[in-house]
Amino acid sequence: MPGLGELWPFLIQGLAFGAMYAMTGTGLVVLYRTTGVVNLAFGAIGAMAAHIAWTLMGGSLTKPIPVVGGVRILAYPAIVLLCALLTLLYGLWIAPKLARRDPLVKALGMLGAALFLQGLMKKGWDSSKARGILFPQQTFKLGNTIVSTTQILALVLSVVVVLAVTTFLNKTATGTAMRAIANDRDVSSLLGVPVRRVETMAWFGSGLLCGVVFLLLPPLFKSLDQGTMTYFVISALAGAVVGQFRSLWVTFWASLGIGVLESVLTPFKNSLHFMADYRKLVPYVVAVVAILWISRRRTVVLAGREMQ
Amino acid sequence: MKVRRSAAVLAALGLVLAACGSSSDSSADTTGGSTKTTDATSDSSATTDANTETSGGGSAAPGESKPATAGEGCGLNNGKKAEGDPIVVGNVTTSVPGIDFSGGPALQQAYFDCVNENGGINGRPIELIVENDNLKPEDAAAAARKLIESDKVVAVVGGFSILDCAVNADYYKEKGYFTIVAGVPAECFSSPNFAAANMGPAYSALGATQVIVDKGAKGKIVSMIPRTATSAYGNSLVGVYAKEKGMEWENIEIDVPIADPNAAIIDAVNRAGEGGGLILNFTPPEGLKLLKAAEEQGLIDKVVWGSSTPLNDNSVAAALGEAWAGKLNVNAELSLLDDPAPEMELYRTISEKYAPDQPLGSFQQMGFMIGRIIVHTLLEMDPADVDDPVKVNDAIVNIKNFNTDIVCKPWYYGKLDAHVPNNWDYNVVPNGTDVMELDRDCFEIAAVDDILKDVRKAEVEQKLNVG
Repeated sequence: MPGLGELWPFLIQGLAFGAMYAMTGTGLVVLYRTTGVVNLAFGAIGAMAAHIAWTLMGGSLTKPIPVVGGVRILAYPAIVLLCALLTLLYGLWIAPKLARRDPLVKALGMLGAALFLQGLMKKGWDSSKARGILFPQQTFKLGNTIVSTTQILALVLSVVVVLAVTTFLNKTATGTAMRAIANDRDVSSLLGVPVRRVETMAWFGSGLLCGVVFLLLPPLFKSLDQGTMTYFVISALAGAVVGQFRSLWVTFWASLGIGVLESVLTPFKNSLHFMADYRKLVPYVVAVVAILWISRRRTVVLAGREMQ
Repeated sequence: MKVRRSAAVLAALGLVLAACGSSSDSSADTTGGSTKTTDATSDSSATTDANTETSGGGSAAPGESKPATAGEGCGLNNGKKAEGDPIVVGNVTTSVPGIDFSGGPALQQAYFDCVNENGGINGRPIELIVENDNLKPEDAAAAARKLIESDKVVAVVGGFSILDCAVNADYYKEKGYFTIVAGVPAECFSSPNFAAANMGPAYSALGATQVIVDKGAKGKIVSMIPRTATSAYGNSLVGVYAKEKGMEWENIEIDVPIADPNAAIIDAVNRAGEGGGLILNFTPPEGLKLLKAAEEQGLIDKVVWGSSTPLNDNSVAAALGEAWAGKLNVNAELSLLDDPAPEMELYRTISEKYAPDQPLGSFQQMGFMIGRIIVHTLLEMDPADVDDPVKVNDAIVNIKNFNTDIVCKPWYYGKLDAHVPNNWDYNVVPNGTDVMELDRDCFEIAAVDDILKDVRKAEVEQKLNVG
């Protein structure tokens, strides 16, 4: 069993990745509560935006990790903008066609979009080549480990995002409308809530969150790996599941916990080495346990409605 | 109904594109399904004089043109576009996120494109079909059967697969195909029906280990490799060599794509201990993640770093930058990427003209080299025999003393129980800016296992690589 000193660097790494899970989870929960869609394309959209930004930054085979200066610095905000636009595009074009379908069909629609984008990425940016995006950062020593400002920023942003989204949902008219739609889409519509407009805003907001995540994720991954980024959302789903796709704060804390647990299992050796081998399963184990716990209520979902 | 159709179309389109995507301009598609390409766009004119000898062939090329040997150009090198029915060859390659070897077949195809613009195989084009095994045994098995039974390929050459050798060794033997690969698993180096252009991850990692031990790695060697069905083999000889040198050894198998490179590399360096050795056995995208994480974490000078061949890629050197200058020892199974030798000149010319999206790298060199081996073998045969798989494979198994500038010693196939024709290596290091530079010229890979001992004995007895 590693000592606390040995675990410390892994705790730092885990907090950074947990923060990314938390922001992703927030984006997933807000969109699901408003539209009923689990955005399985969250990672693919972010990965596509990051690849386009890499090209805008002047990335090439001879500059696989471009150093950005001058006007090319605009490629960083372009990631956020592209994520928002791609998400919005789906929300305006495909999502309305599936609005009255089962959650499973809606999720499959997102999965199709994710695979479509992954295909485009593979076509445009050969995945056998190394690529990366640098984010301007400083490093400093904390205890026996090196901490980067990107990691700190990830943690701070995750708190800010959850606070801001919670405040938005509770204190603004649009937020109230979103919560109303989340409770009952049909009744909200009858009461005059502009469902379509509010849903569009939810798509756009979720896209902005995706952009923020993918501004920081490539530097944390040290790569623009298409597979890792596309399927990052799957691990991030676990936090949202624990929060039952309702509570942003539960999602936040669960995501942090998952990130930390996944990371601190890395240095386990000898008879406990299996824990390091299976640490990637942490999000799935947490999600399964959470689902089993939640299903104690024996809720049956038919056509999107809970039957007690 | 309309909605359902739209969703189905979207999902299907996504699935098809995900399965069929490939590099943007490369004509060899290894990412899904198969590709048949015989077109070409320009010519090549590099020159050199090296010799190839195949003892199973028939007559020389007809007419005034002579087959080009290493570096002399592309095939007959006569500037005439090949026409007529293609001579079809194929291979099985792995191309999935985290393990993508598609760059190798891309350069094989590039060389074929050049050959087809320069007289082809006695006037006929050569065609390459690349099947992706998707890192699934069932796909690897199906791919080999499709190539041989459906596509009727005359030779299986140039496969870069994690699974092909292990899954299809018995099948190729049954069908009488002598396959030329760039091999990964142990079966590629322990079967009578496979001979590789490379030496594979195990011997390559062993070569890197020899260098880092020479350079002062002490106490413990830690090796890292992606977790696949063949992981146990990849770093096994590192352990044997470390034991011979009285050092500890620990192997780490890691899931790819690596999502948390910082945690992975901190753990590996901690395990190696101060002054120990760390061997990486990864493709460039994965290896680069770990190296950049090590740089961020201030770990570069904690251990002596080594890597198997895949990181001998100039794009890796460019990405690593100044911090890693001279500090990563990459075993190079093939000659230096900026080697002025004529065949390497030809490789660079073809890469630039026919596969501009491909960086200069080891996989690409291997694909190019295998392309030259099969083209030369076919040109040495009687033109009437090149559609007969039996005669083509007889010519392949009889290749010996194929002189090439790309590997240290002449390449051969030969009738052996196991093949490791490439068993001398170079060591290269990143120069701090943009290329891998030579650190150590051709050196002998230590014969720490019975296979390499037997191979070296056969080389002498059968004069397989005497040049």
